[in-house]
Amino acid sequence: MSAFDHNALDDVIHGRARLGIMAYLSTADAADFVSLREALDLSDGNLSTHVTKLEEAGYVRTKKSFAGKKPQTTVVLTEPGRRAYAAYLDQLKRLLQRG
Amino acid sequence: MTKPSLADDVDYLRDLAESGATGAPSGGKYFIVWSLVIATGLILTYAAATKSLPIAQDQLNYVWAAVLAAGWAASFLMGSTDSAKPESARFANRLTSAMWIATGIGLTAIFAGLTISGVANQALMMPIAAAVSGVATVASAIIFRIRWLYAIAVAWWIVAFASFFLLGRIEFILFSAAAILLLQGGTGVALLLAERRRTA
Repeated sequence: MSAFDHNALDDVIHGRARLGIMAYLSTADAADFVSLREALDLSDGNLSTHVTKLEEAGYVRTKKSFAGKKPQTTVVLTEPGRRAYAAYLDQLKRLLQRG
Repeated sequence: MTKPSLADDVDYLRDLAESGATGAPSGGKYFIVWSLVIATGLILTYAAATKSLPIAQDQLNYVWAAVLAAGWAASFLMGSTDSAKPESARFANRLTSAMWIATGIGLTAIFAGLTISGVANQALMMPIAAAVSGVATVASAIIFRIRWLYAIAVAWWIVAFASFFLLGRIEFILFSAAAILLLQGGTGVALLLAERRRTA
């Protein structure tokens, strides 16, 4: 049986919505706000709150730009974010092996 | 409300990771540009053949060279601005973009070979291009999981087949232009509208 430390689970990622954002960005690298909102089926405000939380942890960064005349927000997965997501999945794997 | 099981959570993560890799096609404008470019070349060819415009038959090769150069120039120009967009960076878009560029290069090589060597009728280009476009369209349909693109691919193959029964006729040039505007241009408009809706 492998040792499992519940405290090692990253609280920032652990929520379903934030984990979803990280899963999506892990393969997309970067996504505009609308694509992310549609993929996760979240409201603008809800997604914004979760992205801010991840941004504060340094796991994602946001870029503001214009697509034609429309303002566009792009969410980009950072390298620490990628590492944190990989570490989270490792912890999850250990949990499953334990069960 | 029932709490999602671990299996549901894993499925949720897998679906999100897959949709993150795939994204949505961002090449609609390339389809439109190329349909307009080729249709312009065909209409000028028809005008030359029917003497509606004072273009000599031997000048047509230069017309086609200019038309194809314009298409490639527009593609590279659009490509340079698209590279900064997150959607263009997705694996699926990079893959399909490379596939369509390779398709375009292959078809340009066949067209140049037919034109310069003169060993076969240039009109053969249409069934070849239609058949190859059908294959590339199916690949795009699989990658992006867009079911209506399969119908477009089948339509391309019907055009490829029908072309052999029209090769000798002058109207074949207009038939080719119409097929390209409808299948290539129409697909481009549908993809572009979907892209606009997504980013609205």
